[in-house]
Order: sequence, then structure tokens, then C-alpha cells
Amino acid sequence: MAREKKRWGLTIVGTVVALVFLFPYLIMLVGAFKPRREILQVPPAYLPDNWEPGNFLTMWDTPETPLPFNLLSTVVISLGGTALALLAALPAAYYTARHRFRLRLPFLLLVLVTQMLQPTVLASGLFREFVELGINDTWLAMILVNAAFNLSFAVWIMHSFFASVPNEIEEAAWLDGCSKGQSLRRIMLPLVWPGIVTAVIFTFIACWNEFAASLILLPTDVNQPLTVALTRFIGQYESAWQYVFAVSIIGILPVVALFALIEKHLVSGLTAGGVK
Amino acid sequence: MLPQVTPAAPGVRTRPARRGPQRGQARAAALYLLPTSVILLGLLAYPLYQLVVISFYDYGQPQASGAAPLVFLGFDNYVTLLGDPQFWDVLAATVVFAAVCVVGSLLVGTALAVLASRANPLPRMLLFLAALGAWATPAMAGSYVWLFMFDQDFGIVNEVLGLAGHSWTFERFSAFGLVAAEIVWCSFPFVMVTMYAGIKAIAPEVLEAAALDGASATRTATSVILPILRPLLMIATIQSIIWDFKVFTQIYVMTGGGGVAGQNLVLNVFAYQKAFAGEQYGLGAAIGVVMTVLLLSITGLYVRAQRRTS
Repeated sequence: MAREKKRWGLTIVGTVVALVFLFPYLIMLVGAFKPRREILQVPPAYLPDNWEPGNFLTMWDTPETPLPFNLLSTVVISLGGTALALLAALPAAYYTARHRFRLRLPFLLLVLVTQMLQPTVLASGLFREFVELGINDTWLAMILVNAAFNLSFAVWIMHSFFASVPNEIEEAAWLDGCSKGQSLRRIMLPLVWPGIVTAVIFTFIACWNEFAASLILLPTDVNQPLTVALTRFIGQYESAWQYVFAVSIIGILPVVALFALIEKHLVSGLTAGGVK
Repeated sequence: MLPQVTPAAPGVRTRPARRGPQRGQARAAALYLLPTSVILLGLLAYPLYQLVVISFYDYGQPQASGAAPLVFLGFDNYVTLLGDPQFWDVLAATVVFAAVCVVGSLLVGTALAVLASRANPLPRMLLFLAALGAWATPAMAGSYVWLFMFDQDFGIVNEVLGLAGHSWTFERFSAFGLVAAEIVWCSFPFVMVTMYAGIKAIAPEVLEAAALDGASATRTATSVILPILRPLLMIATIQSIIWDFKVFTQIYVMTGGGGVAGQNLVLNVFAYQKAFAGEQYGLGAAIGVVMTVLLLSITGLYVRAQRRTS
């Protein structure tokens, strides 16, 4: 009886706490549907008198920022950055997990240390470098920056997955006449698939949400990603909060969708593994 | 938010070195490690080198555009920085602020993990939904919602509390507190998910044994569960320290670039303001170098903690 009571207590506390944490999303959602007049109303109303789904249409064409380009920037930079980080990290993670060599540990530690570096600190140096290379204020520059700042995580997470596959499996493949490349492609990749997926998702989300580097390194508005575009809706005198929230929702949805999509893959990838 | 990075320890089970020609192996290693090395050297090491170089010069907008010659200053930028009382004030604020955020995230994350491990499916699902939302929300968007909720005039919080016209960002500690609350709100998922996984991984036999031995709930928590979770807690702590020490977006957005008269500056925003808003790239670079050194020391601790837990 007392146990049962405790369980109900926990359920109620858990629900209330979760709702408190979810409350800001509700504000975001409701705010995105408020007409401009109502969102700055004092005192504030909980729900809009007139729901304004038109915000999701009119936000694409505002004097503040060229939003279609900003969305395109975010997509291009995130996809490019993720692809580059993955392509670079995969061979490094594989090799450091499967081979012992003299510079192995120093290499891994140096990669780990790069996590400490950050765009705001390195921006002056990056800026000069991009000017020299003639790619200043371009998507390519931001793809490189995003790949670089997420490489460490990608290498380490995939390294630990590669390291967890027993050597015998790969050795068996070699005995059967697989080349190194073939064993990597046909044997290892399917086994470490969950690790790759994890690395891809986290890299993609980090690129998608990146703000500081773009703020400093992308002065031209059509090149800027959504995160920087958001700041343009908040002015000193005029603020379009309804657009801030509508754009935020557009920005969050793909990530949530990705998580939902991947969760199944993650589980199936884990259970499909041939080794336990 | 930056990626939730807690790489596992390097695998111990590694293939023993093959007896082959050394040269061939070196070439293979170079080939596999080349792409990563090129990117890290080109985009992190070289700019870092540039940063150190710039920090020794009087480097402002005229120098950047080539209109004025570079003047070598030696350590003058560092002397200026270390002699600036504002720097020490910002450093102290950064440390205290990061500490509050770390403790807050750990407490909230762990509490929610315990709650999620004991609650019914519905609240558990809601808790994970909150975690997923916080994970997926860009720091940018989260900061704006909080700012909006706590707005002086049209914010819902003032309306509910009957504090119409009260500004949460005007006073220093209140502004820091608001940003810290937002940071805890968006960074608890990492701690929660990590600790939840840890709690779920504890074998039921261990808890049964403790119960059989007559351990109370508190005793079980402190003497059985906590020691098992300590390595995870350690990693979550250090990872949180690294993130919260580097906070930029939330302070930049919620306090309007550092608060009234710079009262809410933290190191990262301070470096940005000096270098890019103040166009003193040399001085900004010096701040960057100091920050990097501080963060590297924290990484040292991180690496040591990882090796101990592995």
C-alpha cells in the first residue's frame, strides 16, 4: 500500500517536473502562432485571440533576413560538415583501433585536446587563413570549420566502437582472402554501424546548431545559417518574436525527426550485431 | 549546444603489431590518419599558431586591412590584460558562473535520471521528451524563448508572479541566474541520459544483496549505487565543466553581449568583444591564448580521469 502510494507520488512529481521543462516549448509553439500585435501585448495573453499560421509563410519574405537562403546555408553547411568529418574520421578511427604504432596514443590525445579549442577563440586566425585562401565568407569555409570542430568527437566515438569488435572476426575475413579494404567495408562497417550513426547524428546536430563561428566568419546575410538569421529578428526598437519562434520550430523539427528516425536504426543496429 | 562528447576510453584490445616491414606500416598509418591530420592541422593548429602570433602584435582594423604596419609588442598585450582589473573580474565571474551551471546540471540531471528510472511509463516518456527537446534545441532558440518568458513587460513569468515591469536582466546576479537556469535547462539531458544508463546497468542482484544485508534506502544509495556510478559522474562533471567554461551563445544573446556595462561578461564573450567589437585583435588573441591554456589544464584532468576509469 505504502509502495503504491510512493509510486503515485513519483508519477505525479515526474509529470509535473517534465511539464515544467517542456513549458518553454509550449511558449515557443504558441508564440509562433501569435499575430505581431498580440505577441507584444501587455499584459501578455496565454493563447492568441487570433491564431496566425500565416507567420510560417510570411517569415520567408521579410526585410530583416533572406530566410530561404539562411535555411539553404544551414542545410548545405551541416551536410557538408558532417560528410567531411565522417570521411576524415572513419579511417583514423579504424586504424587507431586496430593497429598499434608508436604515435598512436599521442595522436589520439592530440585529437582529444582539439575539443578544447573553440571558434570564438580561433576566429582571428581562421579569418586570416580564409582570406589567404580566398574562401573567406563562403559556405566552404564554414563546412571546413564545422568538420574540424567536430572531428575529435567523431574519431573518438567511432574508435571505441571499432575497438570493441573482436580481432578474430577480422582475422577470419583475412584468412578467407579478404583484402584490408574489403574487410573494412564488408565486415567492420556493418558491425560498427551504430557507432557511425551516433557520430553522424551528433556531428550533424552540432553543425546544424552552430552559432558563434558563423556569427564571426560569415558577414554576408545570404550566406548565414538560421541561427545567425534569428538574431536579425530581434532589433533594438522592433522585434519580430513570432518569427523568432516560427524559425526556431523549423530549426528544431529536423533534429527531432532525425532522432526519432535514428532511434530505430540504433536499436536494430545494436541487436543485428553478430558479436555479443 | 555542442555535441555531447564523452568518448569512451581508447580500446585496450588492439591488434598486436604485425611483424612486417616498418616502412610499409608507417605508410599505411600515414594514409589512414592523413585526412584527420590535414583538417586538424589546417583548421585548428594553424589558426592557433596565428592566434599566438597575433597576440604579440598591436593588431587592429588598420593592420588587418593592411593600412598600417604591424608593430611587434612582445608581451605587452598580456601585460595589459593581466593588469586590467576587468579581466580578473571576468575570470572570477566565469569560474563562479561555470561552477553554478555545472552543479545545477549535475543535480538536475541526476535527480531526473533517478526519477525516470522509478516513475511510470508516462512521466518517463515526458521526461525523455524534455531531454530530447533540450538536446535538439539550438542554444540560440532556447535563449530567445527564455528571454521572452522573462521579459520585463510582455513576459509570462512576470504576469504569473505579478511582477509587472520587473527586469530580470538589469541586475548582475539576477541576469547571471537567469542565464544559468537556461543553461541547466538545456544541458541536463547529457547528465540525465548518462546517469540513467548507469542506474539501469546496475545488476539487480547487487541491490538485492544490499537489501538482504539490511541496508536502508539511504545506505544503499550512498554505499552501493553512488560508488558504482562514480566514474560516469566524473565524466559528466568534467564534460560539463568544459562546456560551461566556454559558454558563449547564451550570455551573448540573453544579456545583449555581456550585460549592462559588461557586468555579465564571461571570458569567451569578453574575448569576442575585445577582438571583434573593439577591433583589438591582438588583445583579443591574448585573451584567447589565456583561455586555451586554462581549458587545456582542464583537459589534462579529463584525460587523467578517463585513464583512471578505463
